[in-house]
Amino acid sequence: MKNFSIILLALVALLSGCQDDIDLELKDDQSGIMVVEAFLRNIPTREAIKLTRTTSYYDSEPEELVTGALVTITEDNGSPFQLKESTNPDSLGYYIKPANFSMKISSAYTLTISIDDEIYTAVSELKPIPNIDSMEVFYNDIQFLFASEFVPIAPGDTIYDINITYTELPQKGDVYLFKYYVNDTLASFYPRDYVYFDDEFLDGEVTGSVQQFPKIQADYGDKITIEMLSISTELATFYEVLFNQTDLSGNLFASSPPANVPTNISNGARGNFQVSQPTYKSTIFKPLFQE
Amino acid sequence: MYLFVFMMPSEHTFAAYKIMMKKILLVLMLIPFFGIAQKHSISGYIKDANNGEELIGATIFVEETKGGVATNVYGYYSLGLPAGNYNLVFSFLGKNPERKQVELNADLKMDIELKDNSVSLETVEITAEKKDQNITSSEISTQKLEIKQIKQLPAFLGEVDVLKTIQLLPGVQSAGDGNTGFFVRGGSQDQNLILLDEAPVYNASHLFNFFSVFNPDAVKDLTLYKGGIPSRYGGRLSSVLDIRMKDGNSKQFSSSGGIGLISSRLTIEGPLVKDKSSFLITGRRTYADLFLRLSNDDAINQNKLYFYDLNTKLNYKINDKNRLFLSGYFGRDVTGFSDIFGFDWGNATGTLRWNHLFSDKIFSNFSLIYTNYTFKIEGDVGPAQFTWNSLLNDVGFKGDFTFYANSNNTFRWGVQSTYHNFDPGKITARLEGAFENVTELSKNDGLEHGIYLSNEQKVNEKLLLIYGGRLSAFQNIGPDNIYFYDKSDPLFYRVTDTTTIAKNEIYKTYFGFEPRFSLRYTLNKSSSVKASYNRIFQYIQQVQSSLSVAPFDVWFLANNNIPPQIVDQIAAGYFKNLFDNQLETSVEVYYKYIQNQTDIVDNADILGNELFDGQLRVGNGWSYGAEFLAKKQAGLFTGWVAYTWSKTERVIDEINGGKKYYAPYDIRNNLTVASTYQITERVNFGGNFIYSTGRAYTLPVGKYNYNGTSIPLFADRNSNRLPDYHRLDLSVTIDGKTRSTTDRRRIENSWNISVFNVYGRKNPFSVSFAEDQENPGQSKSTMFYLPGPIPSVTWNFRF
Repeated sequence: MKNFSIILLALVALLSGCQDDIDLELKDDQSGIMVVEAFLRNIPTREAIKLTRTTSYYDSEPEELVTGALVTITEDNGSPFQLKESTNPDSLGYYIKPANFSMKISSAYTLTISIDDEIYTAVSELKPIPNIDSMEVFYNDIQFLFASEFVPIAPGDTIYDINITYTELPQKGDVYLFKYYVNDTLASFYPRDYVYFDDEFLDGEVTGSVQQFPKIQADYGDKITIEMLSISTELATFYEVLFNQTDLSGNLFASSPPANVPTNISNGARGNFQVSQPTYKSTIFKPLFQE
Repeated sequence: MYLFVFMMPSEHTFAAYKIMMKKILLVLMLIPFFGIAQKHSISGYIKDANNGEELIGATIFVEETKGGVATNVYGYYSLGLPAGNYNLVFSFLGKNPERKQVELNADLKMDIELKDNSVSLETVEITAEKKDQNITSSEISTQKLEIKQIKQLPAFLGEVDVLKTIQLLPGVQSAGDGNTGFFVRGGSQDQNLILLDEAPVYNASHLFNFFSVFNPDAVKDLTLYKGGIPSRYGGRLSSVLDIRMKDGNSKQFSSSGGIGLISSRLTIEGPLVKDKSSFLITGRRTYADLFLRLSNDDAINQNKLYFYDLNTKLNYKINDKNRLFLSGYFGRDVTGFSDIFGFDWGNATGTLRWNHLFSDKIFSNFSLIYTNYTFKIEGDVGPAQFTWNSLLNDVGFKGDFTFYANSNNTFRWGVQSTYHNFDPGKITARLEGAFENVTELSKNDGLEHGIYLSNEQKVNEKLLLIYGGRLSAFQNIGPDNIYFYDKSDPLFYRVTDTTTIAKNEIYKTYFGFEPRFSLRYTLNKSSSVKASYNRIFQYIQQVQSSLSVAPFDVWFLANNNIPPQIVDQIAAGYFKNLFDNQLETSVEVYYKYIQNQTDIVDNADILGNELFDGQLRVGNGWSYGAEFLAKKQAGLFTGWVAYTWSKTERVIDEINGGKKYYAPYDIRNNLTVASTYQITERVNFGGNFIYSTGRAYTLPVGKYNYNGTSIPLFADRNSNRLPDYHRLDLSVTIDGKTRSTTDRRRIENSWNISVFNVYGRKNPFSVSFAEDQENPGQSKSTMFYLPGPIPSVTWNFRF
């Protein structure tokens, strides 16, 4: 229903006339709450968990990083594995999963963070991912209704269709997250640029999926890579709500009233913990028809 | 098939009703104080001498007994008196009273026509007789508005709007600037029963709530019940807004209309068969889209944005005892961007009514009621298509009886049965050659029934009682899908099981017993106290994500997951008239408690969601408050000042951590002033002023960063407030010279100039919390508001 929300956004903008910045008196400042940003891919590279704390709403100071926490990951009922804090002075507050730490499909992993007598935990299951069979990329000139899931696009904006096929895994409940890279550099960096798919209607079928990414900066001859990641339904909800509460915030018709983005971390912390299995496919971006 | 399903239970209930009626009559015969024999009745219709329209709520005062009655919604009255000589005074606001001397020795039929009371600067006639209706009537928490009065107040963009005027009444809150949505005594919008000639209107707004569907030229009278709701009404907890359409001029052909900035209106009415039958057709269309087309910008000139509506009414007097009324409404909103996107919606209602007098004392009305609401969203961009069609139908039957037993007892009873057919629709999203995603939202059908009985009893000169009750029933009918949820995560219910119900299977039945009670005790000639209690069951609701109702907000029936809502309301008031009934004042207090109050869960996803009932949470809510009103109805300066103090709270286990929180429309203080001043015979000034405490709102208490995105952190739901709301509107109406009244065909015209939000107050109707695009890392709040001042001009005519 996101596409629909975009249209309403435009419609409401048309009708609601004016908007102005407003200084509201905000009560009960709740800064200093633990925030966990933990998305660990099961690939042989270093990955990091980032720990920060909430700040006052109008605060423009850089985020407050949490240093000196004890961070561990436990596979099923195994023994805890510690993620050590980066020793690089520029990366304090980052806790590193080493390249040689590998995870097992269908195992559940528990993240435990302890600092100042407070313990925060979260659990995530490593779900399987199918292989991508084919991939092609092409320009798409005008898209209005079926434009990006996240960004309203005016007619005439250039967006790219990345068309891939894969065989969706049996059993319902699979959710895939898509990101793309241009010449091996991550191009869909913010959650609003992500695309995700759930198998509610297409369970176990061969899926030809057109993923539309707006505003890629790419030229013919560039290498485009798509990364397909297994995630939980909860994380997909997390991204969706995140979009509602930020980009669609205040929209009279399209969004829900202000509310907190959900979390799977215990003890009042915010953020999310996810372990994920990725799969990749690359192609060289070339014109569909030779001119 | 639908008709069949509908007829079955109605026939059944009709039989039940016949038995009930016999029993009631039997009981009545046995009541000792029942003394029909010695008394005679005076009955008839009271009409407007100008156009033959029946007057609703006109009064008949008997000077000798100091008692009287008022006409019902069809302009009918009936009065029982012992034989003798009487002086009767027939009066109505804005009309010259008529005095009649009668010698009563048999039942008497008396139809009266009242002439306009022309306001003249030199001789302001004060007619004191029976101006104390608000003191002597039993009605509490009830407001009547004359359309004439509404038309003199300032109007947003020159469009006179009955819903915006009732927002100026005590106990009624607005959904925002220029918004027709309203909340009554801490009740949500779907708890208002809005009736147009008895047909419920499901979406009373045009153009995303900027205008209401009620064309003022078609409206005769409206009554808002906020409490002490009579037992003949049921199905909505918080209010009944009973709007009656004009019947059409039965004296002569006439037409009237207006040309405004936004729309033009035209009404044609007249007799079909003199004194037997008359008709009314009134239409309205906006033309903002015609201006859009003048733009050179393709992005603007291909847009569609307009609405129109049509009201029609036909009445036929078969004879003195039988009259037929046929009324219809049809309206549509059309929006669209070029031919790639279209969004249309609208209501249609139809009512066929038959008034029948069983005797001079028993007035009855039978109605067949149809109402329909549909919307359609279509998108078509090359290979990509999107469609969503949704519809809602009600077909109902109603029989109402009034028995003017004697001067001390008026019995009312009736039966009602409605077949609801809600089809939220099928959503198809298609990309040629790639995918087709069809979401079929499950239909829900139901039957809603009600029977009621009440008596208005004048115990003595001082004490008037109304007591009675309503028995309501509701049945869910298949086909439907019933969902069962795993509720272990209070924020996200997950479906565990689905049951499919076969067509026409009744799978759930609810009953409700709804006692209603009102009393009035007169303290002296100018003051009285009143009290009331009502219990009401509500079986249908609307899922709403924001304060402002959207055209695609889905109505649904009570089901296995969402039980009916139940309200208990008590209200008490003191009514005092000052300066020889020139100034009416009142103080009312109320308390209401709602069981099974629903609210949406945090981050609810309700748009086109088949599992919307899993997005709702059920708890309890309550509201209490005090309403102060001073109203001046006669003279050159008229209008009212209203002040309301109120509080509306809820407790729902799975919302706000189970802690008590304010409803989103909780407003502590609300002051409204609505006034008109007749400065010369032809010039009239109008002014509205509104002040209210800011609405309860959820504001951020911090923020955090996740993956490069700044996310606001919120505390308790609705624990903060938006800035205070205030606004001033002014208007001036200048009547053109009226041609001599001896000329049978008069031509009248007037200019109305209105300014909405005179001093340009920025009242936010919504606030967004997001990162500053120009200054990453810095969060800001942005308010959406309607700019002001907005001037408008309208020219009205009548000939």
